[in-house]
Amino acid sequence: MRFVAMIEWISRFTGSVAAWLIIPLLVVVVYEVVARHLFNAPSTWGYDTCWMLFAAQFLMGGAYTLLQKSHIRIDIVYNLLSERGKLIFDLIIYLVVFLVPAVLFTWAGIHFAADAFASDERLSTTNWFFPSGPPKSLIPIGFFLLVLQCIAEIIRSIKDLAERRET
Amino acid sequence: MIPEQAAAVIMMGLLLVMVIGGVHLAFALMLLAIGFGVAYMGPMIFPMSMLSFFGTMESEELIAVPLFVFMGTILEKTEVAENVYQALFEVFGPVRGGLAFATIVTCTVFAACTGVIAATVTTMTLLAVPAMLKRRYNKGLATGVVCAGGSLGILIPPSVMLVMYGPMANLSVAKLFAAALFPGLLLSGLYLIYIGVGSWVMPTLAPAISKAEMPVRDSKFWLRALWQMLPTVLLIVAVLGSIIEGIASPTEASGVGALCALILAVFYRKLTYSTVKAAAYTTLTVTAMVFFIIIGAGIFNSVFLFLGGGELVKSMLLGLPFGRWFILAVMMLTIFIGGFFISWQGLLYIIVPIFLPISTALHFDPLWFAILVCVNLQMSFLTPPFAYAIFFVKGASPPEIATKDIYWGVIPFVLLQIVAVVVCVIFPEIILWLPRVTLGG
Repeated sequence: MRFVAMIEWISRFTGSVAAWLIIPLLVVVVYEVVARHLFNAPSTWGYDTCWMLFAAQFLMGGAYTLLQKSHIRIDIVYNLLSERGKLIFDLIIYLVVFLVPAVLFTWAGIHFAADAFASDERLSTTNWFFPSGPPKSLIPIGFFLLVLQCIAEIIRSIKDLAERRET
Repeated sequence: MIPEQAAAVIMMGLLLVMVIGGVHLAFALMLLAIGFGVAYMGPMIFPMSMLSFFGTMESEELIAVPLFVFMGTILEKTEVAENVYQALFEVFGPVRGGLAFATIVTCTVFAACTGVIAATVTTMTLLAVPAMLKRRYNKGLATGVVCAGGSLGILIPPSVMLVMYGPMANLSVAKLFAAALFPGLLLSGLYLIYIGVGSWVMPTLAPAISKAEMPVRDSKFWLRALWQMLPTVLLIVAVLGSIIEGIASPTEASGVGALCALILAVFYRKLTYSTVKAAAYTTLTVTAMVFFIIIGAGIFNSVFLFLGGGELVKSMLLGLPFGRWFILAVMMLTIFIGGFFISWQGLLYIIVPIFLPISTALHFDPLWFAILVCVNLQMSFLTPPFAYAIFFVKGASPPEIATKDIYWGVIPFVLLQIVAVVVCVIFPEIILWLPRVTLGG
């Protein structure tokens, strides 16, 4: 269980980083409003910084949201299952529905970001021309954190199942 | 191999089965998109997904989602609802149905503070339901009012639903906000009329509070009521006004609004580290939950449309007899029935993209259609078995309230919402007038 505890620490830590990103996001959006409307001088970096902060927030928050069981589901049928049935059902969901897309998107994301770094690709949204590698890396980072948290959930489900059998 | 359009039907069918069975929506979408994508498009699906995710990340308008959620959560912590409700309680108390009036008006004000409903419904249940039960209000009415009023949060701007609808349908979020204002107020008005008429016909439904219980109404009383409500109302008017007048984009307004909410919290002496932290974490889970659905639905739709699923639905619906109004009714009914089983995010990102080209082919105004859909989606909060508002109310209300009471209580309000949809169909100006005069159509 040390391993599970370690993963959960990672999810909590990245979750807290992601949660606090709302403050810099707020500051940059307000700064841009002031610069544009009051001084008529929008910054070159504001626009891209805003969406990168926002993207980092929700992608890095995926694992923490899984830890908190806040990804939505309909639990009417689920609640009809026995305790054991629920554990087996959850195990299948984590193994198939969560883990498969998370692993594949981590892998695809690594290629996506690596290509951007290799060709020194630049963002073309504004005249700032920030490299597109860092924001693109957010996708594999987010999904990798999800893979980790998913493994923790799987281990916990198996352990709970084993304990139920003994008692 | 199964023909493509048949595969599209299977894909949608599997999604429904998985979601109703209890699989998390966001990941059911991703898994099906990968499965059918690999089978019919090959490994192409992966770089395509990456570009689709990146497109969502780069969207300027969607930045407003976390900021509006944050603004609403901070305002909730400043006890806006408590203040407004207290003031209205004292004003409306001695009238029959007065507490229900106060609840609806508070919910309407609160709806204009937040873009989501969880906070509104929970807060209002804790505040208003015990107060109404104590005065022997009908249990169904007491809980139905909170469900219906609380759900206004998703419709009355700023609304997360409208922020999400805009980029998906290529509509301006500011125009959507302007267009949704009067339909939202219409609903609120219909609820008030229903309570008024209902408590007049059936005095036991919502008895008046005895005079002895009420405070003396002198100038101090009115000043205090004003002091409790005015700062919040001003903030809302400033945020919404600047968007609807076209002075600021919804994203800019969401940032400034969130800052003002923090300042208001200082003003009411409610700003602490733990308040901000709680708000930041709530914002994170709401945002991550919504955006994983958005990116999942994005690739699900690409694959579904690639397989020709959209064309299939389009040709089926356009082949229906009785003209375009009948087709509109079928689309609205589909969303309404879907709302019994699927959450609004799912409906918005799965069914609406299929319906949009149909609505265009039938020459319906896109803005008008958007608001009809959103009023309709709002009903999904009240229609069991999968009804968020009912869950939240049940979770927060005293144990003497049975789920059955809430089910009976929401029926009149669902009927009123259907009335509102019909009224908006007959009088499209309710939707279209405000965006036209302020933002030029």
